[in-house]
Amino acid sequence: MSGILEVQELRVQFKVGGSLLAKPRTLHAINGVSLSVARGEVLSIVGESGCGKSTLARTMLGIETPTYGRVLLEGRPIGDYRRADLAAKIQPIFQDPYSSLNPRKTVHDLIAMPLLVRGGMARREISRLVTDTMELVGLPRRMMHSYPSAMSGGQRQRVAIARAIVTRPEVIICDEPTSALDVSVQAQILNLLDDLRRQLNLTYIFISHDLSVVNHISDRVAVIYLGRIVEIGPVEDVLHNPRHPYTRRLRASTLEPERGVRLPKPVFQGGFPDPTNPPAGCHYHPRCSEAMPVCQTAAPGALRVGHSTVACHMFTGLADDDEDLNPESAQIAAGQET
Amino acid sequence: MTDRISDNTAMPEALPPSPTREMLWRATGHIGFLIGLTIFLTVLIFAIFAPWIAPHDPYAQDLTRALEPPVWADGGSWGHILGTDNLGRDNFSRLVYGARVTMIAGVGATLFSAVLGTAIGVIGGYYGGRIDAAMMFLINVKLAMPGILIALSLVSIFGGSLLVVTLILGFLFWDRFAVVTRTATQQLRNMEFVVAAEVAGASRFRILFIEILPNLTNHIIVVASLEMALAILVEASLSFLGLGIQPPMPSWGLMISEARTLMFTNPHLIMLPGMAIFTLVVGINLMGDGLRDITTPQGRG
Repeated sequence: MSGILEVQELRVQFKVGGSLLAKPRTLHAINGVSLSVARGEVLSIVGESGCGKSTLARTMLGIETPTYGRVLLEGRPIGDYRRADLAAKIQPIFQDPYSSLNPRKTVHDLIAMPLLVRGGMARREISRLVTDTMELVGLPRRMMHSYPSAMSGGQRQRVAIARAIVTRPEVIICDEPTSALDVSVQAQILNLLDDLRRQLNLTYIFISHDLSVVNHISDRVAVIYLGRIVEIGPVEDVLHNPRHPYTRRLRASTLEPERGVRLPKPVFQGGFPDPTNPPAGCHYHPRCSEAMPVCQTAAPGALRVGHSTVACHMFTGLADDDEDLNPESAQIAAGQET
Repeated sequence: MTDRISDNTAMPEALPPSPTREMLWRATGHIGFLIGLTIFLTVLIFAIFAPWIAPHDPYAQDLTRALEPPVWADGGSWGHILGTDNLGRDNFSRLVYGARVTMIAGVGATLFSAVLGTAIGVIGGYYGGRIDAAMMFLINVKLAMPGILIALSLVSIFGGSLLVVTLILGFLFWDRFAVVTRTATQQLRNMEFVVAAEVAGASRFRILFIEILPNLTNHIIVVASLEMALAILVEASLSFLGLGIQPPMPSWGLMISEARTLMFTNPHLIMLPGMAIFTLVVGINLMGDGLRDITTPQGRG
């Protein structure tokens, strides 16, 4: 069964630091990622800053061009779509509602932007759609002509959500949509996203580093480390029964809002590796407490463990090969060293 | 922490003011800006309504009434409030018509350089890379040129009509527009609302003119007000040196130049246009400083 959005063998590389004298180095932002998202599903992508989650989002939106591999939307490579047609099917919600809304435009014009760009709609029809959408996201109608500077963070993010759903897209890529908001507002926005998903039958790619938010909203989780998926599976498995050493550490570093629980010990040794010069073998081995000699030389392949798929040498031989356990689960294509 | 749990339900009907209204509100409390604006608007009104305000023809010579003193000095009369010059022309009328020349040169040159400089700055800032390097090269070349000397030589080649002077001044002052808009565009370019427009499939034209340019207007207005003062000074200097506006057209710089031989016997002939230039330039600078305070949110304190 193929999903609405499929990422196949994706690699995205950038040239950085080139000048007259220095040769540019290659930054491997995405290093062989494959995944598939089913219609109506919420797939979260988690990882540290700089691991490539935002690049993955930008590639799915068609802003970055893949160096290798492709992204399919409803079975068609996104490069084959006309820009405006693609925008009608896949829309972003950004992290910072202070930067994602043009301060010089009114709420009406902000929400209407994708429709105006697409063209071919009467002004009255656009206004009607904008009003309907404002109602959907819980914005009072009289805010139609106000400017973003007169609005709170939560209201701004509602405007951004309205802009994303005004074309009635299939897929929404949420790039940390709550991390710039107050905690009380975060919950409202998450609930709103959840309601909208059911009402409009949306599919979300939810990018975040906040595991509690991810736990709340997603069906499946993919953990990314340095441009590779290290673990992907249902949220109960990945977050509550993590298998990959990196996921376990990530889990251990979250703060629990319970009495008597102290600050977690800093669990990660060493810094995040240089993405222009990634470690050989498994990218995680320099920081991994379970590292074995094989980790330094060979990149681990994708192994099915329970309902999840894990890329770690620890599970070689332990993995069960029962393909029927979770047919929707994505295959991880382990990246070859380049 | 201005967010409230009920941020989508109960809100007072009175919405916070729009950015424009808020700016107007701040403008009314800024004394420097108000003084500058008053001076600028007064000169502008003089320039526009010169034929109705000036009591005499600024070109009419009357050698029998040459070098009359202004009304407050001995021998002055209400017929020529500010006296007459060595050819018997009415000083007040010449000042009023001179405001016209000054404003055309100042405003025209500023508009011209604003369009040119903003285009260069926005293109460089938005596209980046090689195009930006090319624009930066243009800006650097412009900055390295001795502006006044180039203007002098160009005027001496093309002659000193008002149009030529305005165009040359326009070519002289675009660099600051380019530098300011380039930096601002570089910042805006990475804002997520520009990415949102790109994702929606907006054309380059739409992104540049509808998403980015409205956010640059404040910067452009502030630079324009400061550059206008400079353009007016340079026009006066060129005319004073005899390479700008040509006689008998009334220009403030030219009036000073014509009166310099009479400086010790009739000092008011030099002081009146000198004061006019001084007041207008101070006024425009006050207005520009005020605009900067009003348009930057940090100035709210």
